[in-house]
Amino acid sequence: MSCVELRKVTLEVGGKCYLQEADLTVQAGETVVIAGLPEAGKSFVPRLLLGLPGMDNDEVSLQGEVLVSEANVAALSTLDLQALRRCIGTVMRDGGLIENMDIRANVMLPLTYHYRDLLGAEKIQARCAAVLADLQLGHLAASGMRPVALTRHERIYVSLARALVTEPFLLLLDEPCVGLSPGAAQRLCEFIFNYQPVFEEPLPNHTGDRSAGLTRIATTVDFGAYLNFADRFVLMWNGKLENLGDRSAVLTSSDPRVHKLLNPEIAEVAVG
Amino acid sequence: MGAYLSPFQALGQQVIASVLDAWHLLRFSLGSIVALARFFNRQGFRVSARVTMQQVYFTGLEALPFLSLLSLLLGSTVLVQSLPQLQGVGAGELIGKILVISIVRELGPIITAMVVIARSGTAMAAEMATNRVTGQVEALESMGVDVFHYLIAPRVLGAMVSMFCMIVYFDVVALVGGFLVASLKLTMPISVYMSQIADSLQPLDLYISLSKGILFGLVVSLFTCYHGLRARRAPFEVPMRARSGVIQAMFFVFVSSAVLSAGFYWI
Repeated sequence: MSCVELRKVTLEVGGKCYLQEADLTVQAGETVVIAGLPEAGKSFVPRLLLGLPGMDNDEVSLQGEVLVSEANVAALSTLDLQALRRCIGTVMRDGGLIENMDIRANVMLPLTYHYRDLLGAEKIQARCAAVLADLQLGHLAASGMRPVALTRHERIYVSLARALVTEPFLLLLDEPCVGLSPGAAQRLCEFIFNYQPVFEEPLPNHTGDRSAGLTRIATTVDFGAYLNFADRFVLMWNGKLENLGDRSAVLTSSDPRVHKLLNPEIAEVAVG
Repeated sequence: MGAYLSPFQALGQQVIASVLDAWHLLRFSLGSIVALARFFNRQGFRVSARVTMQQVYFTGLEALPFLSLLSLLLGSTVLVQSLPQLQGVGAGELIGKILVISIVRELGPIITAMVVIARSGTAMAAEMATNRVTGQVEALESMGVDVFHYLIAPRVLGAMVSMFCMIVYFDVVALVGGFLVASLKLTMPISVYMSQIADSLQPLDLYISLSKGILFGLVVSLFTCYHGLRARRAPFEVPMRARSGVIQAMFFVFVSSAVLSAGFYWI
């Protein structure tokens, strides 16, 4: 069963075309990495899936169908769209943390906003503490620091904790490893692609199929750090999404575009 | 020919931009009012209520010392300037009427609105613009948080409640405290002064003053939040958006004050 489907999607934002009749299907539980050059418009793919195609109040023209969990995102009402987003975890490029809240409050925010009445304060705190401990962020949360005091690396981890604490069926990551050293990117990828918190009491009123496991879609400017983790790689080039296949297909590809996106230093670490 | 057309084209583009801006503002205001109407009976109410309390604290409570000083100075100045003139022509009993009309109906709400715009309006516009520029608004949206319910409605509600209470406070301090300050110079007994104020103060005066408080709170918060959220991803837009929001809020406070006063006058 497909978790995400783009059918002949054409997207223009602010007069510039980013997707041209692009197709993409991601099965439930699959891990897909979308790679493309900077400014190719990769960030618009997770944004489309969240029903946020525009950016900076620009004019948006969207054609085609964007299906998430078999729901046409463009046709959803505001309330239904919010209900869908509640079940999707998102890690934005710079973390997207709320600056006037400390780290713990940031991680707790989606739960306190959506599930305060259903879970109660104690269970929310217990869930957050469990995820923060798993991601080795307990010391940062205990310090009461605000996001401004964090490094980019730490911001992404906090953002990942916030994304996973709501038990999403789909995890969207926008260039999480950009700017990190190869070693740090590898460690982050291990968490991104292998870690999934399990809670005693699952969240109620959830949409999306989680039986096949967490579906993960990440965007990147180079394949390197993701080579050991993703099930499938997709190339975004000139508005098209081209399926490349798995890790070995990327490493053995003779396509010069793929070579452009294969950082040799990082690839070496990934291949071991 | 093109050179002759360009001023008209510029004017036309300006008109189109203004109409579009007005349309966006109308949509934003409707969205905010709907969020306000559903504020108490939806998920996330507790989180939004906490933001509302913070807004009331920042807009209302923290502004009280400054507002007290302004109201004392205004009340005593109006008294010192007008009472001797009125007593000179044997019309000292009109002082209550003059104070009620000038302070309760007009100056109290307007000056309170200016204080709120200067302190909280700028802060709200800059905060919203920063939220937009740093991607925090998108982060909230991506979590399924209703931005109108979480960001806008608490500020609108907080500003309306604060402004309402601040105007009551301003009127009381200006009328009573102003007299106490002015009594150092004036000879009118406080009992006579208070009875004149009580005789002059009609329910309509209170309706005008308090309805202005609610309306100004709505205008200031909507305009500043709207302009803040219109920022694009560039930090230099934060002060520009704050300035636009403050200027428009100030302008529409005066316009709505005049419209409301005229409306009550005709009633």
